Amino acid sequence: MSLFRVALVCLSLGVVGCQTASGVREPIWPYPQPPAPPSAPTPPPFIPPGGEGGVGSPTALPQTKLPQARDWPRDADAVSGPAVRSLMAQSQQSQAAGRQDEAIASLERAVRIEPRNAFLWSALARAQLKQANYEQAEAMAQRANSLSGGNPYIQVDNWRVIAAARNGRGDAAGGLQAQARLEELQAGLPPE
Amino acid sequence: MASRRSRRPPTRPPFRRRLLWAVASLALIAVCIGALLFVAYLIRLDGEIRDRFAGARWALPAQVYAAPLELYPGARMAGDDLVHELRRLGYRALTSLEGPGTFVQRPGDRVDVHARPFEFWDGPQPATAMIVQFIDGQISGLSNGSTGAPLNLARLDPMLIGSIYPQQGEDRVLVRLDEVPDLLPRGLMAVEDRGFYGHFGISPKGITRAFIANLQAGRVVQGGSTITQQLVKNFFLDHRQTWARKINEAFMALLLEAHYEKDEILEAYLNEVNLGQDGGRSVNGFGLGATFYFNKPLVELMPHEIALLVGIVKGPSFYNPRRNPERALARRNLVLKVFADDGLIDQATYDAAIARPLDLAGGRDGGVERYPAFVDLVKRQLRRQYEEEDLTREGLRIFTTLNPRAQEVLEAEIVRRLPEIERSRRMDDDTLEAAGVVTNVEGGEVLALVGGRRVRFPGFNRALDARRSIGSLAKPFVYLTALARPAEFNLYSWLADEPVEVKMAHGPVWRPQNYDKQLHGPQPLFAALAQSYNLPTVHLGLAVGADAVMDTFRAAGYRGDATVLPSIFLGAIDIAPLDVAQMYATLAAGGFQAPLSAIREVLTEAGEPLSRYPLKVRQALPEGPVYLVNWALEQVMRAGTGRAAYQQLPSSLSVAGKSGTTDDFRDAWFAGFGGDRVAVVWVGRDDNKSIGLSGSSGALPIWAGVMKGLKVQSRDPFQPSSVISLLVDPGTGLRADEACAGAVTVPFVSSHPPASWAPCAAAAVPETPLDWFMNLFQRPPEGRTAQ
Repeated sequence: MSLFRVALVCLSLGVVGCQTASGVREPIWPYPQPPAPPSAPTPPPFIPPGGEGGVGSPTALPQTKLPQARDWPRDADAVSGPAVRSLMAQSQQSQAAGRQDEAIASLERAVRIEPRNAFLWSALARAQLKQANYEQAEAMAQRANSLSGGNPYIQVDNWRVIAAARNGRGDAAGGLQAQARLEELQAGLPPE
Repeated sequence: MASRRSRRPPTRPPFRRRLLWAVASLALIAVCIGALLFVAYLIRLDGEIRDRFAGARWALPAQVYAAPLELYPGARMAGDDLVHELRRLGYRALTSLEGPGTFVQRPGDRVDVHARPFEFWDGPQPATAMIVQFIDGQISGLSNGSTGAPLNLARLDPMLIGSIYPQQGEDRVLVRLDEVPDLLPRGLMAVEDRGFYGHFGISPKGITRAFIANLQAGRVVQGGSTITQQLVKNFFLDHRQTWARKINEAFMALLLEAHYEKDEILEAYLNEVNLGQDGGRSVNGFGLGATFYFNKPLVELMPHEIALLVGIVKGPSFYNPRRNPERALARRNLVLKVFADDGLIDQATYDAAIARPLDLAGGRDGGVERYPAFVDLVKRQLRRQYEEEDLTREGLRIFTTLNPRAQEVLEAEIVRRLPEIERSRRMDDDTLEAAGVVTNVEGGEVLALVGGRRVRFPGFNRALDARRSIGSLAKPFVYLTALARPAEFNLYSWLADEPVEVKMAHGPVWRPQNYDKQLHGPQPLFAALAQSYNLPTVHLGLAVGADAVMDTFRAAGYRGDATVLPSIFLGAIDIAPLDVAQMYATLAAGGFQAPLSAIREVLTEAGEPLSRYPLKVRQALPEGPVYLVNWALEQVMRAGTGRAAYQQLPSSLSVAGKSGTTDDFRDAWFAGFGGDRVAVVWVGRDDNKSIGLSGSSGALPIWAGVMKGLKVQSRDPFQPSSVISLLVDPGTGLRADEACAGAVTVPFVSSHPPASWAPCAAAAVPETPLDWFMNLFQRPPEGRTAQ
């Protein structure tokens, strides 16, 4: 708990520090209250009921949850149900036999079962890359990133696909950027 | 003429003998010419028969299938749900499994199913007996019924939901003689043509009998037709009972028999014979007859069902079992009697069969064209790639994305709610019309589509063709455009709720008003969206510009070419429900757009893969701002114009959505999504008159009912790395911390958190005494407020 608070304070200080340093922002304390409407009395503030928060509810900040890298699932088997695992195996068999369309179809079938399984989107991105569908490969890798919940192992895979896809369609600069991101992520991974 | 002939009386030639010769020669020549003509006639008939019989005998309409139900451990489905689906697929409930197409509901939340074999896109799935176990509305176990081995995944055969046949055309499902139940051909022969395997195409005995009957009646009242003759009649000729036709038919029957085996002729007959009419579609062959009348494959028909089909052959209209059930039942029982008398069924089977009702599937109209609006969408998508000819002749097998369960829910809500609304608002019956779309969140699959309240009627497809103003459904895209400029706007930016006048380029001055015609004071950005206030939206839209908002519409999936005017901020833009679904699906998937599709795969008649419609995605909208706008759309549901949804939905369920109401209450819209489903509902009138309903009162109840019926999953989006959640003081919209009572958690684009602390925050202590001192005297400039 206290660790969290320290983190929060550090974070806020960091943010404030940045702004002060860059000098972009106006001085903003105290923030002016919104002017009273001319006609009607000010309604009570609209409080988002969904948002938890307030004193003593620091869990409301999922951003601060930073699991150790070694806690992240490394492959699909760790997070997928048996149906998806068997479809992924089926997809690999099709791929090995050179039946790319079937390989992709199996993965799509799996996505219908577990639409938010980032490993599946990653696998789809790789399959698209293999077929030289560079745009789809990159888009699906990006989707996998957005569903990864920060899992660096998936992201490393995805950036590898993105780099290859960009290079594949002749975007060398974009490829280098992706490569840089890939290396950055790899550097953050714990040693094997 | 007669008088001219009689002018010269016949004279006797002197040479009788020579005359006789001459006559004989003439006769011979005549006979020869006649024979030649006859041969020519036969050759022509023969050619016709060969042409007709060889190669593709029938133009085969494309068969359209729903998505198959996937069974796997963990699937969210209760035992009753599975039983419901099995019944809709025409599976028979028994006390023990008796082959494909049967199931047993056992105590202890267990269902045994013998799944039918089916040729899927990725290969055949053989008939499989399975044991499915359920716990708490989920499949907890799936295993092979014969070996007991656990199964990871299995599919049920998909529902046949329609076919694509030509206008006024024939529809059929081909069957092979060796795959039809034995009772069918034997029973058919017993009733229609006892001597089929003995005669040579025509039956002299039958003809004699009919001839005598016809002579006695003085007109053609009875046909002595064999099965071969009936086939010829169906193949080539019209149905007028004339002597010339009879003669043609007889010769063609003889020729057919000369060329082809009995079994081939019988098989052709089974596929050709007319068994009824379904609007513009004629129901041909026993394969389609089985699905049309009983909703199951021919192999699974019971004796009383076979007897009905055999009985119908005599007069598909006269014995139409849906229109004339009593007549059809009498005919069926007569046929059953023939079956029993001929020893085709034993006494016990006869007794059981005769006691059965007709057991027809579906209502009065029946038929496989269950979802005309959805099949219409499928056809339109196919026509981009296929010619009409391919679709109506080649027997293509179209595998679609339709989810029968979702379709059922959407239909039921619309069909049930519209009359309720009409009654409560004292409208005339059938005043309101409606359309609805359900898609999945990831993958762009259209799961259900309703084009009007008469859901079985293939009329005006409002889901695709009714382009109506979307009203406030446009607002999220205005707010998204603003939130994509995080340096200027966040969810707690204050928006003015003040009158605004916009001078249009060539028109009058536009003076929008709030829905309640009130002013509510400055509003945090998200609250203005949640309460669907018009004036703050217009201020915001003017701040970002109509062009930028139009760009957002387009990125989200709008395909029209509306003029870019400030009135688009309030939804003065006509969009069909399906396109609205595309736009909201893009939001639902965090800005990743999957183009909506109704088709997964197309196979040839032989089961060869022809084309696939693969999943595609595109990052169409920025992830962080979409996350923010979706958060605001959750507030719409929790405390804004969508809150009435929670009269139907559990409060633990997180959904996002937006109501839409147009000028003078012409259109009521609701669009939104949970974790896995997107739904759009429109309610209005075809003549575009006012219905007096807002989106919240007209469309929301249907939408919420759909979400409930779909058992939609709760939203639980991954927070993008570009977003940070921070505590905010709701009174000021500024950063809060533990010291602030009532602080709320609000997401921000992490590069632009609220710039300052609320007064309540412990961290709000000014950094230096000097700052504090300065601030006592100096009010800093206002934070950005859209004006």
